[in-house]
Amino acid sequence: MKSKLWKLLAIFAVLGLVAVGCGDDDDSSGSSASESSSSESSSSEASGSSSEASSSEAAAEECELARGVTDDKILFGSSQPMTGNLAALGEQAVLAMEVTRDRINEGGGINGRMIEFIVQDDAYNPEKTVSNAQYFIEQEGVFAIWASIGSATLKAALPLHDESNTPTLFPWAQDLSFYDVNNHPLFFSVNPPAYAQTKGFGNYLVENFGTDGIKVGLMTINSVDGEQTVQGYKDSSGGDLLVDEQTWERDSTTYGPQILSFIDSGVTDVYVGTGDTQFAQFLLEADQLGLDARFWGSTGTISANTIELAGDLSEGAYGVNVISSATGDKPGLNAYREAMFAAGAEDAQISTASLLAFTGGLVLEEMLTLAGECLTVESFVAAGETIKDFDTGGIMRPLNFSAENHLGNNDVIILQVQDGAWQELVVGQE
Amino acid sequence: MSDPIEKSTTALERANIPLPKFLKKNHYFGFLGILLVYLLAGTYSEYSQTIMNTIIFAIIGASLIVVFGMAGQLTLGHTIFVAAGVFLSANITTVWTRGLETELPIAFGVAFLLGLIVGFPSLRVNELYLALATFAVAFVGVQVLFEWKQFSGGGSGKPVGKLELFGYEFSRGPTLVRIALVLMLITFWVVGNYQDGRTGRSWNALRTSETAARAAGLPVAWLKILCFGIGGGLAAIGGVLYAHTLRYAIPENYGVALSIIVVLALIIGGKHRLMGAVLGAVFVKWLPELSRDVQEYEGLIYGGTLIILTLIAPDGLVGMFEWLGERLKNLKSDPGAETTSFVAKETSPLDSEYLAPLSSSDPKGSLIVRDAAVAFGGVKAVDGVSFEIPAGGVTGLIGSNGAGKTTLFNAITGHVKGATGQFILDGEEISQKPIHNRALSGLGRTFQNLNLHDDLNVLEHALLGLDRNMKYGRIAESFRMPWVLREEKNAHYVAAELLDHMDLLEYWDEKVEDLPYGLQKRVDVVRALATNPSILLLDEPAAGLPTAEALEMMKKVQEYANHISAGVLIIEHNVELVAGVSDRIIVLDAGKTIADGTPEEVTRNEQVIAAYLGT
Amino acid sequence: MVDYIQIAWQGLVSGFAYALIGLALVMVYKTARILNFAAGTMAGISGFLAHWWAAEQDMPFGVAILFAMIMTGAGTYVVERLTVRPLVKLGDFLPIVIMTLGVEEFLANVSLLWWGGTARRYRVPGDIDRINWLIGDFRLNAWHLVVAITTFVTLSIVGYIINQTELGLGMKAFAEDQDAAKLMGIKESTVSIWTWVLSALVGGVTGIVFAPVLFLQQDYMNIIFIKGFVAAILGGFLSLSGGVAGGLLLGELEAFTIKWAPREFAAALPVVIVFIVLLIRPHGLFTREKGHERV
Repeated sequence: MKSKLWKLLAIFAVLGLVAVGCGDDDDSSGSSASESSSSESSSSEASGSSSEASSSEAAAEECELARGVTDDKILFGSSQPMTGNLAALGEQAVLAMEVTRDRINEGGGINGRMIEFIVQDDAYNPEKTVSNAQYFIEQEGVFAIWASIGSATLKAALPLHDESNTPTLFPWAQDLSFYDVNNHPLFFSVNPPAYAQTKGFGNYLVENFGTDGIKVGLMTINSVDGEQTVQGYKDSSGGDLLVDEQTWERDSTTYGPQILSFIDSGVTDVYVGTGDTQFAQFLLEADQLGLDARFWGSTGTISANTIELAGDLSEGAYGVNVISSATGDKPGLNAYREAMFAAGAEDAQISTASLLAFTGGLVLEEMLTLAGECLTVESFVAAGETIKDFDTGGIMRPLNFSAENHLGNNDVIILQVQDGAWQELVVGQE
Repeated sequence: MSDPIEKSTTALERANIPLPKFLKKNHYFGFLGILLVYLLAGTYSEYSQTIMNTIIFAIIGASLIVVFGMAGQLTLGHTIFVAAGVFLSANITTVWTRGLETELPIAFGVAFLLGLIVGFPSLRVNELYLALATFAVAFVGVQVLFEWKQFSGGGSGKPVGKLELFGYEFSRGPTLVRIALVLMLITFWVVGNYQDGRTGRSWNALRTSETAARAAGLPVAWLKILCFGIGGGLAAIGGVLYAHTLRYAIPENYGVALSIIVVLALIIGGKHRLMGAVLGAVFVKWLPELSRDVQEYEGLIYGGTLIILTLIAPDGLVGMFEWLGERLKNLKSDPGAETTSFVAKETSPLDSEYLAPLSSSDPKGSLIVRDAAVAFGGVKAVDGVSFEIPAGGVTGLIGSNGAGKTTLFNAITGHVKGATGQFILDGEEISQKPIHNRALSGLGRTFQNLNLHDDLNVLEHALLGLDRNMKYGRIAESFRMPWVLREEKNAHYVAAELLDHMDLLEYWDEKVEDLPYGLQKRVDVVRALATNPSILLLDEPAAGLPTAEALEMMKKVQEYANHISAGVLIIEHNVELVAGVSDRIIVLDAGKTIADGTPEEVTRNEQVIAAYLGT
Repeated sequence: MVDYIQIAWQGLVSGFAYALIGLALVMVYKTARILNFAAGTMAGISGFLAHWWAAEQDMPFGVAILFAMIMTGAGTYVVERLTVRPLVKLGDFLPIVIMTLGVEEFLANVSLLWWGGTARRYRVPGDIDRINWLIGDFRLNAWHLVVAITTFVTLSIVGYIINQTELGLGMKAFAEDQDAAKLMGIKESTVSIWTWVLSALVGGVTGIVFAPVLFLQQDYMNIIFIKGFVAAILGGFLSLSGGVAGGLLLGELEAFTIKWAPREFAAALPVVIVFIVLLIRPHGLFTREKGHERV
């Protein structure tokens, strides 16, 4: 009997050894066999720095194109919430990506390369985002991850992008940690963090309405960037005016309790950090319950659909955005809407979600063009860092990137619904 | 001298009952399967995330087999344990900067204790209500994570640190898959050991009939709580691995939705088999993976497949494969060719080396009942019954329908709430004890409406009764220590002899629900006999049986009772049968004793004739 | 004081939704011992259908609702026959639950492919969902009144069907004792299917009257479904009136706890209260515990 116990222990001992052994084995030999694992990223980083010196001689004759890039195409991946309660945002972003792709490809591509992308659904579930990332990078071999939506999901997937030397481009994700160039050297964005947005809101509020009799209520989501949203406001010049902090859950069916609380605390201004549908419902219920205040919607609330859903109740509502009104009258915006409608967009899909993806597409096109014939991750990033005063046709103020700053746009733009459309009031910076 | 080997063989050997072994065929297959994935992990590293998720779900599925598949507790709160593993891992790797050697034991331990707490509602509520109670626990668990910011990082979540083991850092990808496979092997081995041991048997018993499990002396309450503890601990191991694949822990992911998916996966796979946990995990993780090219329709395909699969395999994939396997076997084998190699016994099983030691000449089972009363609403079903039964005697309890016989039984064994009165067994007061402790004190009972454990075979019913003889601990059982096997083997020998005595040996492998009624009655008796009771309470053992068959069975029961010198108290309608076997008869009418004496006295009693025998 | 009334009213309006869905769930569970996880999604599709007939096929408001209800009933009939019926004879609870989960997933994706993820406004005649009356300090939304009336009418009709019609008698008989009902010559499959249809229609009404409140969007009835499930259990799951009462109670619980409990516990408190109730009364608030365990 005893001997069998020993046999078992022996099996586990052997297995354990194999586990450790094989693991090490694979790390050294595996990276050459399969383009995976973290050791590869460190080696490529190392080669990146060494190649800088020799690139001038080598690049001209011999160029090793980045993964996902061939002579006639560049492949991107995008992980989006295509199902679940954020599906609308995913649909809008994908539409804008398709518009961008078609625009570039109809113009003959970039350096002869056509743009292609694969979309995978993550239903806003990080587990799926991570497996999508692996699918994009290791199975499909994409060049970069483009315009994904979601802070919580990107938090989980970003390490995988970074380790495999895959750029993360223009996502709608606004957690502060993403913007640290040292930690995430391949992350590019035109979307300032949530923190900056509420800080900008607080500053604007004090500047324009003073502090007298002003009481502010915040309603933020109990999720990844919710706390930063609150902190941003507290750090603004209006931070002392905060009297009521409320949160909401993704599966709320009513905001009545929060509204009643705001009524109790007598707020004059309410910042609502939700999506457009929730904001419309909030406006409806605020009217039902008699909350008399100025309403400030966050980035997610600014869409034509807010006005469609809330109707007259949206009139006069403010929006704190990072981008000009999607329905505004500027060359860039007109081009955006024209392209979107041509691609079959509905009115409701003219929104911040699609406009952000569209604008990201403009910068992406510029980056790819500047990176030149020999498209590598290094040349691409280097090209991005040289972009200065990039004109988006008025969608955003001219964009600037540098080696220290991969966030091209730091604007906080205040909008207001006037005569059934979002109008731009003022452009400021945090 | 004609056939010495035959004579000396035990019932177990004659019936070819396999003895428990350290490793079974399943173990080798499972080991080979895991080894295969282990070796291929490097080759298919581009699928490592999906492979990881599958392994994690298989581990969680195995942990759910403990709670749901075996113990039958429908839980929607299982993610709370996964979350415990995930966030403990995040904290241990970042705050303490320790590796797996610290994460795994702590995660298991904490989740185990958590499980003991979460298991409490299962003592009060069942099925749907338990599903809701555990749903509430999961719901509150997520809220706690949201608010306990030091531990979870609140809504913003917490990063997970490096993957380390004893200070050696590993890369993720294929290496993590390999580590996960080793953990899966251990988890499956442990769960498999429970399935083959007394704990799993007890869980299966309480799932199929809690009442009968209690009557057999199983500590049902503890077993229920324990299943949540062990299931929770194992799920937390899955959680630790989950933390390392996701590398970022966010409270909102560990809500009820995840609970539903893990339960769904296990049911799809097959909730009673470890293979079911694997197949379920493969289903939920690989269907989306395979439909990536048509991802727009992924949900449609997933839902549609689920519908079709449930139609063709309602018992889960494992059930379907087993059914197919059986069909194939039947096709291949000639139906007439299979003959039982069953060899009839030559000596009485009671003299065998396993049952002989139980023989006793010291009569036991003296039972004193004082003022027993049970009321349902305003109706007094039992109204102040008192009697004394001497040790070792056979006593009949008769009365018309509704006279309160079974209720009196239930009052004695503790199966009815609100019974008053005193019950003293062999000088020991048992009135205040819970059911299973009364059973352990020496009450063995059968049930009027058969109360057997579906899905368990005849042998397992006998082993359930023998559970109290097995002294091995549950930790030893987890790792199948040598003494566990020794005791299990011994119990198998004893059980086989007992079955032989009751002429059930040739049916040892049959599921009880497939047996004819008469044999089911015997199985009920065997379970009670196996507990080596001081007094055996038989509730209408002959009901529904032809008299000859009933007499035959009673003879066997009496033989055994004499062998162990136990008393017998028997409820019966068949007066002829009772009179034939009893030393004494007590007659109940409308909850009261109306006669008490020898069979002759009682059958001549006018009151009895008027109330009962006359009609 | 007005504050209390206002909160109570808001809670009641949410409670109507929970109560109706709870009723729909209990109905099917009671007669057929089936838990229908697709109830929420089915109710949502009814709402979408009513919107689709009105907004995209230009039908009058009432006719659109009628068409939507007919489609809901017919669709449920087909779904029950194709998916649930073949499993009923197995007599096992779990495969059917899994089946309804599969149906839920399938229908949710059909709805998503058909109508997309963007929320839509469900227009009601005269936009009365935007009219608020001020009665003293109490504010009453006109549509909420419609919701209340619809709820009472629906409950009355269901009550009538259960107490006065043959279907209702059959349902009752099956709820009491399946075997006895079969012996009485009541056809199980007939009772079951009409119970399903009735349940889906109750759900459909809920989906439609709450569409202006919640907007028509992907999964908008799913949370209502979960709350309805909680309500049904609170009520005992075997009592129709218990399910309704459980729903109203849950609505009130939510409104008042979120109002007064500390913010950290507000979301979890109603569930905790239900949990405690369940531990004290394991068979729900409104059903009596069975007399004693039969052994």
